[in-house]
Amino acid sequence: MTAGAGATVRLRGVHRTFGHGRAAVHALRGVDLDVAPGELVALVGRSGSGKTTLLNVVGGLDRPDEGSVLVDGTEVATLTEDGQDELRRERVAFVFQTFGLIPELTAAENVGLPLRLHEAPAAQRERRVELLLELVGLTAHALQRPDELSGGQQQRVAIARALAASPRLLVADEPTGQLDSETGLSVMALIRGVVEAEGMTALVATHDPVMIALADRAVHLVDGLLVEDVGHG
Amino acid sequence: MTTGWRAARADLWPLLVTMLVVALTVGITVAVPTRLGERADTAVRTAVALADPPADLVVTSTYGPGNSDATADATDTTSSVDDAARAMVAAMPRSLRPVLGPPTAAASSTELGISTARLPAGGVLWMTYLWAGHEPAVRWVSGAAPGRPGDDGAVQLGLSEAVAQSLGVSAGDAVQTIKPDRSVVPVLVTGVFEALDPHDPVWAARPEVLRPTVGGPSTAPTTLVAGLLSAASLPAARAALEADGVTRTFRFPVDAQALDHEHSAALVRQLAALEASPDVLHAPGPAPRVTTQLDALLTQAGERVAATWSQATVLLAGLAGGALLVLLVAADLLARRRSEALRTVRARGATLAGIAGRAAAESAVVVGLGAAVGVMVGLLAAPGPVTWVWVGLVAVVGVLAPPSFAAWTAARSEARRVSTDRHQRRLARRVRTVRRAAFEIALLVLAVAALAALRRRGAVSASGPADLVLAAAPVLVAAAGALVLWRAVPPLLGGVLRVARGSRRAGPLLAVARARSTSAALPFVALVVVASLAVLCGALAGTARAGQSAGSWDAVGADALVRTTTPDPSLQVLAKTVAGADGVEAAAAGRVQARSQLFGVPGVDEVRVLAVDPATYETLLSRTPFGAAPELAVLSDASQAATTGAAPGRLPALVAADLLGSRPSLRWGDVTIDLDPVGTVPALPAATPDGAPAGATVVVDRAALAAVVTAVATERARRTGGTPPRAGQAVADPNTVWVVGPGAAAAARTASAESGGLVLARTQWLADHRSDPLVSGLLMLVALVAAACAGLAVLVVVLDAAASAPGRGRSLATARVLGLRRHDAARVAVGELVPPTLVAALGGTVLGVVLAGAIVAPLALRLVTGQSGNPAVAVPWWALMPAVLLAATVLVVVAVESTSRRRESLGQVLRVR
Repeated sequence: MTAGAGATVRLRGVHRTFGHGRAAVHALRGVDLDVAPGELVALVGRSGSGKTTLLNVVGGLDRPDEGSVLVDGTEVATLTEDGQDELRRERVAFVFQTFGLIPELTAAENVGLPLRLHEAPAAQRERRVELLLELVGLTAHALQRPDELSGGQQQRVAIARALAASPRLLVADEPTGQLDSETGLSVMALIRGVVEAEGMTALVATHDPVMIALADRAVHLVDGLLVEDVGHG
Repeated sequence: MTTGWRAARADLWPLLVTMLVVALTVGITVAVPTRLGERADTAVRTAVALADPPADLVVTSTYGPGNSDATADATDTTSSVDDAARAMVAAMPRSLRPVLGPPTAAASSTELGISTARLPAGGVLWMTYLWAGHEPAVRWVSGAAPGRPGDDGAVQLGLSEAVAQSLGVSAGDAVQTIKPDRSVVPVLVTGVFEALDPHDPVWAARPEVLRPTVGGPSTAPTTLVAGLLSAASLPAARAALEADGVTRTFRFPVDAQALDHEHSAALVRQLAALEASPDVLHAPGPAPRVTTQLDALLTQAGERVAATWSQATVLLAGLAGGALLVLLVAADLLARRRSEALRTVRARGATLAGIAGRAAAESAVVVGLGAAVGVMVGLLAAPGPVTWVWVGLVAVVGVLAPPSFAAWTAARSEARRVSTDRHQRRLARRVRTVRRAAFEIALLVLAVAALAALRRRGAVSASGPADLVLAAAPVLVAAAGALVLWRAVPPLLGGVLRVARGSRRAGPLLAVARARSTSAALPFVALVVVASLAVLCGALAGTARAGQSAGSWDAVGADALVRTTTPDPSLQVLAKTVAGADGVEAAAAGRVQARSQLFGVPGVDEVRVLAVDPATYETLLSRTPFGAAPELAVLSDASQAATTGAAPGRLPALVAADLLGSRPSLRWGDVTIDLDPVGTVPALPAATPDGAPAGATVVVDRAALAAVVTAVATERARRTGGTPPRAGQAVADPNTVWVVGPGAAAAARTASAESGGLVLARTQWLADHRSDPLVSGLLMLVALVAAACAGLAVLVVVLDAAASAPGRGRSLATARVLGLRRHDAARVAVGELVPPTLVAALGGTVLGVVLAGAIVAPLALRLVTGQSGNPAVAVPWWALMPAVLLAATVLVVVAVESTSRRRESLGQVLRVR
């Protein structure tokens, strides 16, 4: 577990427990983790090991019961609800296994949504959306709705949307979980590529060995404990 | 069973909503017919009890000429009157016995002239024998009861104290009476009596026995009196009044409380048979006659009841239609909530029939419970027989809707994924469009046909219940209108979406995009229909209330009215007196002559003549809703010459517009006068005080009328050598005084106390009319249906919001993950739900008002308002409340949703499900 003073993500002694008493589930039990700027870290572990909980805590979707979570220098654990909203709007972007697209919006509208949340001027927004759709190879599908796209296309739209507001941190939860291996591979390559191109930090929960191989390093979660931190060559 | 119970428990609240809707609808449709039936009975009883003249069944019979015997004794009377009455009671048809009381018999002479020192101008006398199981109980103040004639051969007669006093005679006096053939009948007053019970019904057969009355025109009043014959003196009276100068009447009073609507028709048939064949009663005499108002009253009341039934059927059909749509929405919601499970069981090989069967079993239990609760509540509210047709209709739809939607959802889930092939998508879209268009066109045609039939034939049937298709016309039109409106929603939202896309912000885009993709036709149509029915009911209630007020002005013509049965010059003085009373703004006297003959105008034979002082009447009208009437000033100017002219001329008159330019003549008394139409009749009371349409009206100057009639009569007398009319002869004396002002009724009552005029206060008319059992019952039903429809509309909004809640929750959670603030998320939800709801509510409001305008006439709302014509549609402000109520419901739904989402972790929402 490397610690760095300039880390984009720094977790110290993070605990998160769901439920009470005998029914309590200890999802995170004193996790320490640093992710350096521009680093792509794969978060590996079995189902129920706490990966998603860790990502939620980092992304401001959940609060730790105990410990410190610094994201881009901001203590996330003590943020108000509005502060968490701002964190997600300004600095953290998400990619979900279920894509998380809004089915009523077109691909272009989904991609432009973070920019609308920034109230970016329409012309600027349109240019950025066009650019991102081109980046993910979906210019021709800009006006299609999610249910008219394949799984891989939907995930690429989700990635484009995640990049739209130029976040500092990309949090991805099993981004290839619902994709076939070929599509998954292209999505993984895309994530690797945009992380490098945009210079952002990424924390990706995955089971996929290819994704793990593409990451700068992988950390293992077992029963809420970060038991291993493996760097890659 | 366990799985079914688990599924039911998971979807408890939509099932409870279904149960509630079924219970509510069944409860109302069970209770209303019974309650209306009770009111129908009350209406029949009230109509008969308040009838004037009374509804009594009267058998009239003469003795026949030459059948008298002056020497006969009381047994002759007993057999010809008392026993005849008893025989008729025995012969009375069984169905009539419970509603008829014991008869009162009278044997009464023809009108006899009488003059005494006290009554030099003369009067009219009847000699009457009365019997009501016994002769009337009296105490002889002086003298004795009449008996058989003495040596003088005079008919012996007893007089009441009041009659004796008015004639100035006492016991032992002999008086001469004159028969119609001018022959003299000597009468001996044997005694003067006092009635032991003046209220005994026996006296009602000839009230003049106890109280002298005054009849005839006020210019030549006639005193009317009657003397009492005994059983012993009647034979001599009959002999003295040959040929056939005594008539027997057997009056059977009607017990109104024994009547009901259900048996009215049978009674009417029985009465008609009796009137056609009086012999059934074994009535004595050569040509007995049976007369009664009862059959006419029952027929009239029956028609009103039938009309009310028809109106109520339209309302119930509307409520049932709205409820059925809500049941469909609930079934749709249930199927949507279970779509995952349905897809799974279908994928595991379940047949559609099996899926439908399981859903039907569940809905049968739910609907059965709801119907049972509804029937129980309905019976508790109104014990009586249950009208199963409504219960059956609601139950069938309630049971069948969930399995239909479940099977449809399961079948649709097989091809749920949208094809990525553009051509296939287009083809599928076209098939859907054609299918939908065919259904919508069919509904539209049905609705238009039903409305056209309703407008042509009317909903009100005097002979039976309304045709269900006609009764359903409003709900069909509302549904068709809703579908047309629904066609406008996508382009409307598309336009708004284009605007939202140009916006910088995320909220408007999210809200409109969701609204466009989640708006469904069924809840929208259901919402429009129930909202329009609620507004329709509100508009009908408002129209009825305003119409009743207008009807009161039509019937009374002022705040108070004083009427006399015969024209009375003293009414002019009364009008002046009243005009100066506190709280009176204006008063006018006039002559109202209904059904006056009019000649020279094709198509108009009879008119109502209103002879008034134009200036005074104009002042009065200007203080009523009829408003200023400048035409009366024209009449006044034109009448100046006629008033002063000695030679017969044309009488200026205001007439109906289509009579302008014609040369009509008016029959007035025994002369015919030519009218000179100088203008059109202004807005005037359109009904008579008893509510009948007044018909065409001619307005003339009362002074000019008197002058012209006198001049015409004088000229005729000159030509024929007859007697010219006396100066000042009352040819246009008033019979009516109209009074306007807050104190009008009190002032009219005070002023008319001495004159004996009948006072009719507008407020009293209104109160009587509004408390009429059928009118008040129908208006209560209108209010009930309005409230029920408003409640159903709220349920539709909640069900629709619940149906789209999961999708909204996911989309808003996604947006929240991207950084959308919580309160902005709530605004998006409001933005998604409010516009379609408002479009539906406002569309429903407009449809409701339009429907009210379309069905006020065929619904015969004039029977409720008491107007002679159809009332103008009046929409009260509270009838527009459904739109506000529904918008408020959306806000509450969003607040509840927002609160429940606060407990959800965003991280959990987007996990794999």
